[in-house]
Amino acid sequence: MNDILKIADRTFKSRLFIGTGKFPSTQSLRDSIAASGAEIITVALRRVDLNDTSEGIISAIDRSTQLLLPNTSGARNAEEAVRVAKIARAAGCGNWLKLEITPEPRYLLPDAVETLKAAEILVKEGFIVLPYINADPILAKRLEDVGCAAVMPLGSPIGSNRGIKTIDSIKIIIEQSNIPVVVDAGLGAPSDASLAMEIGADAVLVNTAIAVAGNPAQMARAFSEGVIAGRRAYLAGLAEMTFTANASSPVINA
Amino acid sequence: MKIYVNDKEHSFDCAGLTINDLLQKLNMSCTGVVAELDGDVLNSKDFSNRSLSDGSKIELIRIVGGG
Repeated sequence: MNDILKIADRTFKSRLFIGTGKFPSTQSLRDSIAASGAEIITVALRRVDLNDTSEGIISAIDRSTQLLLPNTSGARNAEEAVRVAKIARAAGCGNWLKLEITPEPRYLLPDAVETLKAAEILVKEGFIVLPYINADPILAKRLEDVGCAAVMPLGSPIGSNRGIKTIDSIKIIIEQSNIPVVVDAGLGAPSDASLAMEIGADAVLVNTAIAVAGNPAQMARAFSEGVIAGRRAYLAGLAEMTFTANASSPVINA
Repeated sequence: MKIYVNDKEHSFDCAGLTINDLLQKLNMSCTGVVAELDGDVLNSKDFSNRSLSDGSKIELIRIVGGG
């Protein structure tokens, strides 16, 4: 299947992005990235813990073949997100950015107003911006208009594993978008990833469902296969759904 | 001199510390570490030529796992 994902000026064979949080070890993360075939890997930035001597996660990422996508998690408004973006760039993460502004911790839902404000600033400062958003088709278009490289609507709250609860709105975003749509957050099983791809999403981002699985590397592979199956089905053209039966065997009286 | 590292006070009995000196005293490698000092974001290339003064507040930040 010669099917390339293009975001900004880069092309990717894999349509599965992997997040690096919550893995039991750096080796488990390394194995999971390899098993997933992912080429876009998200990371976060946090204050140094002076007592933590564990191996940094950055050693699990092969920068020659994998794109580092730092997020602005922890930012509660546009100003904080811009600050984190500049720190990420100084840390050598390049200029790609998952813009994520979540003002309250219970549902970690993204703030649309602050996200749009930050996106405008960051695009002007040369960042390739992929904003994490609620599944809001109007906001998605506004972010496209200000120069974002993709939009990342949520399926359900971050780390909830509840699947795609926003499916109708995501379908509208996909229908209207001229930039890639990456379904992010809440995908709990490979079937959720398949569903996202079947409805025409360009890619998905998965972290928790892989990182906390009994066997993260096997789950990474399962998600990869789910993404490939869903994408292939979308390209093949899904059969129409009907309310009544349509006989699949010939209807002839014997 | 007193330096506030990530909001925590540290006392040193010498003056004119650079960020590199500070990291050494904290037994930290500068790999992958970014500092924020007086509103400036600095990477490791700047660590040897930026000095701290008494009462300086510095944030040390690094890449961690995240989604």
